[in-house]
Amino acid sequence: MFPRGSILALAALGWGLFFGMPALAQRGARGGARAPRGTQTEAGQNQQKTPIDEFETMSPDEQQKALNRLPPAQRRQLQERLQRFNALPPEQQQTLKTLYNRLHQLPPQRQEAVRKAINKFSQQAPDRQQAMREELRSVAALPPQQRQAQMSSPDFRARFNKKEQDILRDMSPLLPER
Amino acid sequence: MGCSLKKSVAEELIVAYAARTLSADLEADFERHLETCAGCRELVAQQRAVWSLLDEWHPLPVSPDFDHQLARRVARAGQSPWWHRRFGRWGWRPLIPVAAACTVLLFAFLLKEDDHAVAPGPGSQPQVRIEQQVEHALDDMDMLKQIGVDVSSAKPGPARKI
Amino acid sequence: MDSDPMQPSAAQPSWARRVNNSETAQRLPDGDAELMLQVRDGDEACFTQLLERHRNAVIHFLYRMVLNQAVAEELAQEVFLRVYRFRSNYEPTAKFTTWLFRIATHLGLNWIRDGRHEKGQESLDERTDGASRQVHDRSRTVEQELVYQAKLREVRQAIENLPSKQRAAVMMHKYEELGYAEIADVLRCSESAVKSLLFRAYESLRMRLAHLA
Repeated sequence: MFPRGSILALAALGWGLFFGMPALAQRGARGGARAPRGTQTEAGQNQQKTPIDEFETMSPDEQQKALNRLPPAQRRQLQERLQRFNALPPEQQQTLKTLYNRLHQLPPQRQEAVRKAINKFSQQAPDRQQAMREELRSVAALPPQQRQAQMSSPDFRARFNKKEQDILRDMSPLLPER
Repeated sequence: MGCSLKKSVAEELIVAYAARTLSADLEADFERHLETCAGCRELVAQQRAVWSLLDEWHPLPVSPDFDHQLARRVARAGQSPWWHRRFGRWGWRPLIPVAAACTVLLFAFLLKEDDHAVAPGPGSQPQVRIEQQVEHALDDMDMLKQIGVDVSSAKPGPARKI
Repeated sequence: MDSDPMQPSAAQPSWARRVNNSETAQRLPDGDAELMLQVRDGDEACFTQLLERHRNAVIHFLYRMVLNQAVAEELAQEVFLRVYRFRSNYEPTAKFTTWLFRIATHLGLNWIRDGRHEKGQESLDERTDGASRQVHDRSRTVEQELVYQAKLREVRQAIENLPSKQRAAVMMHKYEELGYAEIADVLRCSESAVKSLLFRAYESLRMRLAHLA
């Protein structure tokens, strides 16, 4: 039993080294790499670069080269959207970037769940959206272990129907870890 | 009762009306019917009363150790994780070099630089271009604006639209 | 609808198009089913996620069925244990919640059927214990609280007096907000049978409870 397992294990090690070492060597050649998203602390999320940040740090020539790859109408629209984003107050830009980074820290499935929840949120009546915003704000102030209790409490279930409850729960990964 | 609606139809409408699940058009039609049908009005009032009484019946809090007890039951039921069912008969020693191989691969993957400006090599998959990444990022930012409340930090404050 | 997904459309915000057009959304309309498929393939973290999403709903449903919190939690454990045990055979032929509530309803109905001879004693205990464990609203005066508790007892009694299948249908319709088609799926009967169950149940409840409001 042992020898057969050992052979397979050694084969796996050899396979891992064969594919892993060149990639490690490449890292050295390129002169370092960014810290992976998954290891960012909450504070680090505020500093982590979004694609918009990366685009802004490119030289004007590189930016233009990238934009020229788009069809004209799409290029114009992207430029307008970037201008609108950059015209937001810095505080709001940072808020959105923090939420963006938090979203992209999540596994793809949970990202999808959050996006669908926000889509459904936007389809609710304005007064229900406001009620749900207030709830998110108050839950964000709670420690994580109390959040679940709050979102299962009788009071919560009385104030929100099932669809709204699911929306709020699916959006809760965007809340800060504290 | 003298209601012009068939009993089963009236019942369905009464229940849905009290639960506020009728479409706007149907609700308007039914309200016009209620103006002329005292029997249905009475039933709607009773159904609403029942609905709000049922609303007041809150469940009790769940035991805090529910998940823990479930995990123990799963373990007691003899359900081992799939990897143990498949590989457990080989023992744990062969896992050491496998773990080492996985660690090497993991390091290689995590430290591999995302180089958006590098042209893809022959035969390799093209990376997502920066302009597309920016577009998707702006999509996400527009979507996140919908939430409209600053939950990026845990500080209390008024709920304001972004 | 635009044929080129890269072209902007005024009809729908671009981020909503991405959500609606994404491969994941198109492949599986039910996020829970997707999680369950991951559980089938060995991802235990997804089972935890499903548990987090549905634990309370299942327990509360069973509590309203069997009117005993301890039994409800015991049965809910059995529900999730079965979900976990049968994970390797899972196929998303129906909504995940349909499957989940089918198991829960089956266990709840069986318990009601089998526990009927003990019902009188346990229900009395639960009425005393359960009513006092209801969350007390501090904004109510003592007198208001007594009135509220008395109302609650009447509601529980009225629910208890419903035939078990009518009870299950009402609980799913009222508290889980399932539609007729989904309840029919859970109870494995026709939609018209579900409507009949529900309307008879609501008629009974109106007769017993309308005077309390």
